[in-house]
Amino acid sequence: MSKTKDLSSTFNRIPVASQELSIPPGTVQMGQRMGGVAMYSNALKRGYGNSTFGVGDKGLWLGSPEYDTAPYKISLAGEVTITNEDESFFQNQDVLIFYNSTVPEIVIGDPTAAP
Amino acid sequence: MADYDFKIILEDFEQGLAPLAHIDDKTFFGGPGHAGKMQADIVSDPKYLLPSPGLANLTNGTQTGVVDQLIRFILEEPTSADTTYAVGTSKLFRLSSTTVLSSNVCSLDQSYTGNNTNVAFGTAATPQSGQQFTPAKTGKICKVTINLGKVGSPTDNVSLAIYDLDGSDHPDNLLGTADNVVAGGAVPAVFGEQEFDFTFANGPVLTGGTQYAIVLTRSGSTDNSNYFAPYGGTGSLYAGGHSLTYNGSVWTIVTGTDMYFIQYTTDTWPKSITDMQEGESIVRVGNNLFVFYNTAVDGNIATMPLDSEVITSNWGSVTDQALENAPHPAATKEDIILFGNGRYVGTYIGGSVNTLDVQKLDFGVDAQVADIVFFSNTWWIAVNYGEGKKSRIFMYEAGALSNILDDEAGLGSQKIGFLFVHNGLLFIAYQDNTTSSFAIGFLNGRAIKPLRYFTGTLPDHRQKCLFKNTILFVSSTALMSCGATVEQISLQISKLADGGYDNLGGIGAPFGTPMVASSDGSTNHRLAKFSGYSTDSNWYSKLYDISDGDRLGRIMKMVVYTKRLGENARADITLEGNQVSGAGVETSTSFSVTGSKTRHKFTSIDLVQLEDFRVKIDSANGSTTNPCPIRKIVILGNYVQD
Repeated sequence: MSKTKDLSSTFNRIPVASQELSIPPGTVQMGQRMGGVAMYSNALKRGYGNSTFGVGDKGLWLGSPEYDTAPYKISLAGEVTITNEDESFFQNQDVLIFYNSTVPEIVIGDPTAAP
Repeated sequence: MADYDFKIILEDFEQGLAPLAHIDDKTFFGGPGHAGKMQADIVSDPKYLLPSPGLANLTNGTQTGVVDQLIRFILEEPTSADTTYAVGTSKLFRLSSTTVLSSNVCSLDQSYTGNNTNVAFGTAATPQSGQQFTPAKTGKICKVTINLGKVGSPTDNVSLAIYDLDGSDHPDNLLGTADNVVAGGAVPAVFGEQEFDFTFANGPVLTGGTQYAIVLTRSGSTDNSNYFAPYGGTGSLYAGGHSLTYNGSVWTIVTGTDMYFIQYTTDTWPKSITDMQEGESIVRVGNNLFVFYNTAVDGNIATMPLDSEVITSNWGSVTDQALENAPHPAATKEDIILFGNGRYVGTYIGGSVNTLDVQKLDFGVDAQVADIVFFSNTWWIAVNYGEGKKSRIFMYEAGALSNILDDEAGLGSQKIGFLFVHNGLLFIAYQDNTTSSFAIGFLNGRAIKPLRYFTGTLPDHRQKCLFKNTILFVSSTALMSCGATVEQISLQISKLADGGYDNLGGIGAPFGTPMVASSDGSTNHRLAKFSGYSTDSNWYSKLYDISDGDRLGRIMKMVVYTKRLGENARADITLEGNQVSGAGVETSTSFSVTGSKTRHKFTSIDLVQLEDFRVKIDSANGSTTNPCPIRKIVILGNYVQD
């Protein structure tokens, strides 16, 4: 008796869903999170809205979703800017300026070195 | 024992492959055409091949009911037990799992529930008392609830009536009296008040925005020792009127006190949204619905509190400005809405911020926002460019305050239809402009990994939902399924069901069972849900090569394994061979799989020797209530010299 040839389709090369939907090791996902920090192409952030800590191409900041509007920020050149409703503070290599709404500016250094 | 040269076993139908190999450039193994060459259910019972789900109209779900237009979007969540909403071209519909609501719902309109004092009546000094009120809705008053108490032991009854007002805002003409009275004996002592309903089976029609009066009267004589004291309040007073007292001669408006009352108006569903011509999406934030829609020239946002169901059609344009005339996908996170607005993304931040900005982000003049989802603490925005020739996906910070985006991925020559978040992955339906087909893929790093392909049309943000752990979506006139019921089996893509009429609108499964809206493009419309089985159901296997050198294969026997079949359950199987097209095509007679057996054997196969063949399963003669679930087909044959 000759052996019956099995012509059935062998679909075993199709992976199961858990394999096909798995992310290959080493893949960096968009906005990948680690320890609560989301890592993007050009920045990393923790938090959202006005409760954000971020580091990006302009520097480090706190208190805003973006650097430009942050009340606390340090530029990549080391300039420190702190602002709130009544007071502000700026420091770079050449000048330190403290200002609040009730007293005139206190400037130490060359005020032309301020932004 | 018979000796067969070859055997073919067809099983594992959940793999969803019915490719017609070598027939055309789409229907090869895994190609985009195979999923559409069938209409069957390989999702509900993965090891079995079942007929497609049938469709049954919801009650009132056609133009002879209240669905007189194409429903374009179905809210994917119930807003309360067995209630959700859908939007058509000009109306908002209210749905349950079985019914499209048609008219006459007694729903909340006005209320005041202050309770630190009372507005007594039934004494010699004050035979009657009442409350001015201003309904927001136009319609028949159907119920008023009063929180009643009593002093002493009045034994007569309390009645409630509705009056219009004269020029001094005093009760003037009687418009209607409630059908029932409340017996004095049922009323608790003062400051132990209890709510009592006064109902109107056919109450007077009141006009929204016009002031009226509720008046309470006792049926017996005034009695300074035994009288009634409905609750009232002196704080956070009702804005639509004041309480009233009557001394037997004149009415007095009491500005510092309001009577506890809850007033209901008969609502008529569905409800029109002024100027709407295309409903686009509905989202819920807190106790409010936001309906995004297009008019003839632009777009807008309507709002509707869920308790009063009073629609403000132009809330968007009044709060900020009109929207673009464009698709308006929308997503929510807590009290934040992000929505597409043509080339813009708009935001609404609720709560104490309460700010609408319909042009928060600008993607440029040739951009159109296709879909938005919230996932992994980030907004994901799909944007198509260049008349749909290119696309990008952007990430935006969760607080929706920033004016810049967090990240982006360019996806190339692909037009995105929708985004779909499921089980931690972001799935994407897209058209690959380098081919003439569509695909379902998922975001893997910065690339879309394609999973399965299909032909037909590209679904949009209104045409997706979850079905048995797979993505259910619209393509052309059908509902397709892509995914795996469980992760231990392979992903499949299949044409699951017919969509009804040829023009499909929104789909959704707010109550678990998928619903689909469709129209014939003229006067026939329907909203239907999966129900029973369809006899318009078929399945094709791949073509199997049964040639062997200079020999051809002759099929000698077919054995079909099923579940034990119910009454009238039936499937018809035909074997087709020799490339299934052109000269030389061979087709067997149809073999009926029916009866109470689980193993159905066919030995009289009227086919000559063939070079190839496929199996066709047809449910045209099947039952809409008892399916014929097929779990395995075994083909046995011998080679014959050509």
